[in-house]
Amino acid sequence: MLNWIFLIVGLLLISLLWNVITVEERRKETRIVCCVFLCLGIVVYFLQTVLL
Amino acid sequence: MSTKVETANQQTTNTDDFQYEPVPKSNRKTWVDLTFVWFGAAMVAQLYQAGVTVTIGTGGLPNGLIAILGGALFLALFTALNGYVGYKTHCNAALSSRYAYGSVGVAIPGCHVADIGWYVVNAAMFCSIVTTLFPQIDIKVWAILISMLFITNNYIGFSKMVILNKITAPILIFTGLFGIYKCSLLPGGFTAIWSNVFPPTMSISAGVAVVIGTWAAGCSRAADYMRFAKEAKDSFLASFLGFFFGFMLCIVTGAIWGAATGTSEIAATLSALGIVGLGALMFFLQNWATCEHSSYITSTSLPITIEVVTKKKFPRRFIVLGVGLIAVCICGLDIQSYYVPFCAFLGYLIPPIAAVSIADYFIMSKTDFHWTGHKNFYDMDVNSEDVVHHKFNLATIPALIAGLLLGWKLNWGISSINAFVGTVVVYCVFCVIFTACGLQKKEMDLNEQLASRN
Repeated sequence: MLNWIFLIVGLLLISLLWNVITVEERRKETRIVCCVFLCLGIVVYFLQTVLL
Repeated sequence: MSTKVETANQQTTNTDDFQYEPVPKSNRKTWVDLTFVWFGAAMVAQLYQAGVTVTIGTGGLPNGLIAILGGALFLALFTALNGYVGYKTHCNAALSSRYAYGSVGVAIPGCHVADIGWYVVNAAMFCSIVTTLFPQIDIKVWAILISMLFITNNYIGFSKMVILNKITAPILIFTGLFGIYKCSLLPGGFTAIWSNVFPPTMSISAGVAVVIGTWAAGCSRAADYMRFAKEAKDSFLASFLGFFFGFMLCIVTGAIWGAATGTSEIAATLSALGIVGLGALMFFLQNWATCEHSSYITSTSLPITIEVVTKKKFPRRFIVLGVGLIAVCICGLDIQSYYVPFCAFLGYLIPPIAAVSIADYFIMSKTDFHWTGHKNFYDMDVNSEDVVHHKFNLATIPALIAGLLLGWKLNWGISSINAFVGTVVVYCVFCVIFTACGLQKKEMDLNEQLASRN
């Protein structure tokens, strides 16, 4: 459980960092990318813990 | 690394690093500047791991130092030769390759995916260290987070990165020297370190190849930095004074660490020396900078390949994004344990690619058998029709195949040198053969058609 919390909080913090420092013109793209990384990170961790 | 030279040379715009053109005279640097840049650039944290691995693998510090010295000398010469081509053309590595490979064939060296591997390996190496500090968190979690974090500067643009880069080198040097001090406190001191013997898992030749593999990809792109040189000697001075000593400083430090602790994993080495916290900080800053560099290199060279193949320009930041996504998927799969095989592989994969450009410039361009039929090909503007209308140099194919096979399959000597020399020889031979077969005549016909149009 600790690992899942750390993972999701970490991904959200990095996403927050990216959204703060990104330029205005790319804000929308950055948000989409952050969502992709969030979903991918969760899926990848799930698969790696289940399959390995 | 590349941002250090390019930051020093940027005009008012942030995107003007002469990616598609020769560097103007007003933006070129002296050998002193280039030497300092290369000295700093050569010092990367993964060299500590390389030094540890090669020393333990070859059976002890004496053998490890022989392998390291041999590999470092080859890399310095390799850097100087590649850099000289960059000085001569004042173009980056991808653009310079157009002379040897052709305007379409440049897709081969442009397909620089080795740095994707470096990104993943460096991120994984840091994760293995931070897991030692925080064992409660699964390394796979760290791998996913670090893979995303380490593309921040290249994808988003992180102005604070400059500050981090400035403090990285002093922390790197301090950590290395402090680690050596801790080694001296171990029972037996330096005498014992020198005398320690370990079961060898690789020959000295294999150790040399691993050492070469640590920087082969970076050295093959020496033109990226040496294009800013003012004089020919700058490339050799920067390579042998800057790169060589910076490289040796880090890898020999790692060798001493390894010989003192008897461990081949960097995390275990740092634990044995009692410098995990300091090491983690150093690896965090240094590996972040190295990973940003790896993603940068990939993002500047792959678009060239993509453009040649698809005829479309591909935004650099999407390449960076792709690198991060790949790393998220595989970084947590114990990738750091593949460090030695990866280095060994690069040790014979990369030299042939650069050997073609080196052979083309230093040998074939001085003869009547150059594939384009030109006598002074390298004096021509890389973006001129004279250069661009030469599409593909067929001699590169057998040369690359031969070089790869020689490096991979030949069981004697040093695989990197076998691959390099084999590529040079085969390339020259096939240039002559293809000239005899009439391929050069076709290129010369193109030259005449262009001349008549003009």
